[in-house]
Amino acid sequence: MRSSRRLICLFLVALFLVLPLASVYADDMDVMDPATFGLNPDKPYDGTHLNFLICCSTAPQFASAAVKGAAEFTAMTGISVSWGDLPFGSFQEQLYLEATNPNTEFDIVAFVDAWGTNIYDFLHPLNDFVEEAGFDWDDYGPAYQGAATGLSDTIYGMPFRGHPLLLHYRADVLEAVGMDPPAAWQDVSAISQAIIDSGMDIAPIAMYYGLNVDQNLFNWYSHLWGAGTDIFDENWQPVFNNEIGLAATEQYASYVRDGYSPDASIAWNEQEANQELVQGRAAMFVGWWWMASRMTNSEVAEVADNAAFAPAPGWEGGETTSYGYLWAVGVLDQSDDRDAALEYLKWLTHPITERRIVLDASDPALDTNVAVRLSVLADEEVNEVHNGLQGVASAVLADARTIPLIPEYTEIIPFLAEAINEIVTDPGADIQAVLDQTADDVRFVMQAAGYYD
Amino acid sequence: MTANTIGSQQSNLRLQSLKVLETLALLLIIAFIALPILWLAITAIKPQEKAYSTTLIFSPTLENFEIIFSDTSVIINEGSDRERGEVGRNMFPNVINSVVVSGATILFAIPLATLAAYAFSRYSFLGNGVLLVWILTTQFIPAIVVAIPFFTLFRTIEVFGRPLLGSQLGLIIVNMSIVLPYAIWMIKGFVDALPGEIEEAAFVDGCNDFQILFFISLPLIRPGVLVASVFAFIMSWNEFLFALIIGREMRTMQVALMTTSGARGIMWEQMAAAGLVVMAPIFFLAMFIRKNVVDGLTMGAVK
Amino acid sequence: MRKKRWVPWVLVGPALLIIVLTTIYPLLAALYFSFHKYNLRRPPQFAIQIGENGIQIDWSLLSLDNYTLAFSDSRFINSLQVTFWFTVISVALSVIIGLFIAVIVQKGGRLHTLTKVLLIFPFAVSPALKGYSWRFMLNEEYGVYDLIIDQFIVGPINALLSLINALPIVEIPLISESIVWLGDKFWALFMLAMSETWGWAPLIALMFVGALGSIDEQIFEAARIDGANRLQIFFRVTLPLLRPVILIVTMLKTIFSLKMFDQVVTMTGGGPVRATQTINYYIHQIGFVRSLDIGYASAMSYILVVVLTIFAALYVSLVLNRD
Repeated sequence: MRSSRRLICLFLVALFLVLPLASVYADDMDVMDPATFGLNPDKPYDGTHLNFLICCSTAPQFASAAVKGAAEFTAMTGISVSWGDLPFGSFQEQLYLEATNPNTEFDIVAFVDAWGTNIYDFLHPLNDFVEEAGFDWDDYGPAYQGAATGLSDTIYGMPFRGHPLLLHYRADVLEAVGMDPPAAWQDVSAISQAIIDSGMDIAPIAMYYGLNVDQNLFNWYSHLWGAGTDIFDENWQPVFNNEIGLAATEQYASYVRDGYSPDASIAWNEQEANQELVQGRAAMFVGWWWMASRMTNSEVAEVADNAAFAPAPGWEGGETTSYGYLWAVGVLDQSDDRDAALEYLKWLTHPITERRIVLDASDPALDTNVAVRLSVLADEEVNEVHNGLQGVASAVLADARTIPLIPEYTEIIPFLAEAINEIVTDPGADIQAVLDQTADDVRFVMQAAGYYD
Repeated sequence: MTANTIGSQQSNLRLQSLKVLETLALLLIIAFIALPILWLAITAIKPQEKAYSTTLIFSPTLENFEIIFSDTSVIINEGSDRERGEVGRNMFPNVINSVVVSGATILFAIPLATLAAYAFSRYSFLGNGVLLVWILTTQFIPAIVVAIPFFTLFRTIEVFGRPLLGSQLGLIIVNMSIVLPYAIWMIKGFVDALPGEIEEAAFVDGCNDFQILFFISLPLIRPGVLVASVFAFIMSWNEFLFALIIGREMRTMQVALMTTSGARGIMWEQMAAAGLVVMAPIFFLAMFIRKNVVDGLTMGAVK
Repeated sequence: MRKKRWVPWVLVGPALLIIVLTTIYPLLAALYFSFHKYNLRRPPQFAIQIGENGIQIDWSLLSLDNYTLAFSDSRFINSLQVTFWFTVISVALSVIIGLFIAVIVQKGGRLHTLTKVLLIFPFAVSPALKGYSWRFMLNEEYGVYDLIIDQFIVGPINALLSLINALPIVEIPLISESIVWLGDKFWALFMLAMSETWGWAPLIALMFVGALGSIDEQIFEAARIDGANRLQIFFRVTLPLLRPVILIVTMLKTIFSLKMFDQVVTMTGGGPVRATQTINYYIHQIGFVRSLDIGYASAMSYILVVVLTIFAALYVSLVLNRD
């Protein structure tokens, strides 16, 4: 199974590199013509100004979407949009506060899957919008669909920026120990041991177990789901502390406990762990695909030259299921300029716009590989520009899923993140006891919310 | 050699070694105080690829300042093989916010505080002692308790069509709660130190209370008012909790420090550059009121 | 001397009004919120309704639930403990190091004067920036503090231990050089307190320098003539004379430590696990980040108000008794 995955991967990459590049959309398509995007040519919203609540304006994945084509949109519709820039660390709180604020100045909000659940009541349902715009909802993978709709059929946000988990690794290091990229987390351990045995001066893997906006859960989910259990059972009882959950968590904690991931990784966030890879101090890293360019653009030549990517590992003999992380864009119900906001959404999430953003690499600060539509991910020209990365991403997304989308889950996330941090911080921690205690805390929240009535 | 000279040599030696120890201790104290500040300053002028190391060998650059103040992409090492792009952070508005909020806070607070301080110092009126102590105790109210109700209140109030929450005015109002009491106590100290004879003479000459206050006393306590203003400016400049909860997206520089995180986690060289911008002006102000900071912080309790 | 009774009130009035509005109003409002179920996600229902029929009070909407919840919430209890230990460590370190600095720099000399000037510098560094810079410098890979601690503290100690271990008597384990300062429960709290100490010890030293300067030099002279050595003078003469000032400073620093918030956000984010979640930080998390439960956040902050009131009363009586 392992080698077949790898073959598929290689095949996909090769395919995109070799194929003559016929683009799906004609390049001469007029991006200045409202009809191209289904926009109203009469400019009914001329002069409207929209406020867009979004984070991280300096991250290329967002900055690129803010800038590229913005002038054309304003020229076509007369609508101008300003992107409110918030630091990621305080974005969640600002999102809640603005969405629930009756006097908010914001019309459009971006939200991460789980965060959306708390503001569903304040978001304009987009089902009709999708239909009227003629968008194909199945152009989004199952993880993204789920994250945009929650547990209902109501579409609360349009998938906008989305991230599958990839294994970022050093091809030269794995080659030196004669190993293939790992298909399962158990292989990660085996490869790590081989790297240590080889005496190479490099940490086998950089994990991130720190408490930072709950990033230490991303790979834990893969372990949990891969091993065959989940956070909750069908009756909303926590089951992550069962036998399978224990095995998954033990495996997840083993990388630092066994010395494969540096001691400092107990406090790292995702970016700090990635930095280890980028600066040549670690050989493997499992993280979001938007970080791929960090490795290929590394200042360390041997890192940049040996940058390689594969789907995130799965569970040996189990599933290969990872977390698909979605930023969706929704329109606030109370916005005075809701229709203008929907017009903007139509343009912003249009496949042509999405494709143009990933294809345009003219400004290195705005170069991004991030797209969410399956059609764009499969686009040959896009893959050619990004060395087939989107092809690998599609493969991961096919099996990706999302987290429990209930409002209470955002209260539960810190419990889980703290539990993981506890387990790795204290090498002698009794994992079962920590998980059981956390399950009790989770049950308390769910009980209070009336899930067991 | 007599026993006596040996003894004095020994005590000389002891004195010498004590001197050395003392110098060492002083150097240690200087290092303890200066290191974080120096290190921030050094990191601010390090090129990005050297910032994540303790090396002191690098060619100084201003590119970090360029990035935090540019509102477009900045191309670094243009033309070389290390060329890369960085999106500018455009912190100018944050600096403006900090200056406006801190400036307006003292503009409102200092005149009020001066009048009140003068009254507390010069008049005895019903309950003035109790009031003064009560003003002191307001400083022990945790800021979070002040922030919660003002947060919910400011969400519902609009001024000039803009909600007070997330506005400079909103933050200025809340900052008054920390600045006013300190200013009153500080200025009162200066008025107390002013001999009353001149005012007495003016009173005998037929000046009324307000004439005395504005034409005689105020000019005399001007230096004290200036010191209190600087102190109050520093307090509101360095304020973080209100700026976070009430200021919201109207970010002052303190909160804007949080925006220096990105694809590499916290971009330390940019954080350091922003940090230098935040603290450099305060250094000069702090030097200016060096002798009064202690009185200010303790409201004159330690003298 | 002057007659007009209304004059002081005119002068005090405006300032007083603003102080009342910015402190009494929130104190009352937070107390009121704390008896309600008040979550930002839902429109609040308040007990006191002012309508056409005058003021109506719906008693059923008031409850002590938020307070009982607080004392059964292990995370709140944890935040009390964290705040307690943070306060103890940071106050002790600040006062002791401050006293040490004051005694050293108090005498004349060029280096002494330079140090005295430098003492004001940490005051210029905002707590938020302090947190970030300490976090940066404690990084186990490229942090300059980490380097210094390993080179100048852990290194020599380990060298000494190895020497002892070379004798076949005892085997003492060496100290790890790879402690992740902000990844270890104890060290994270300790370093948080250290960053606070860095900001405060120099200021406290300045306070002591002032107090030391006001002690009559003849007292020390007399002690010296009686044959007391430096240590004896410090413990028998200086310390007792400084006692009132030490008490006031300790109380003041305790209050500031209990109110500490900024560095938790910028330095540790409350972690590892919950080891540095102070009360203020936890209240902020509950009220503005995680559950948006303003009622519960208000109740917890009121518990903090009660604690601080006790210290404030102690402080005020200390200050007043001194005059």
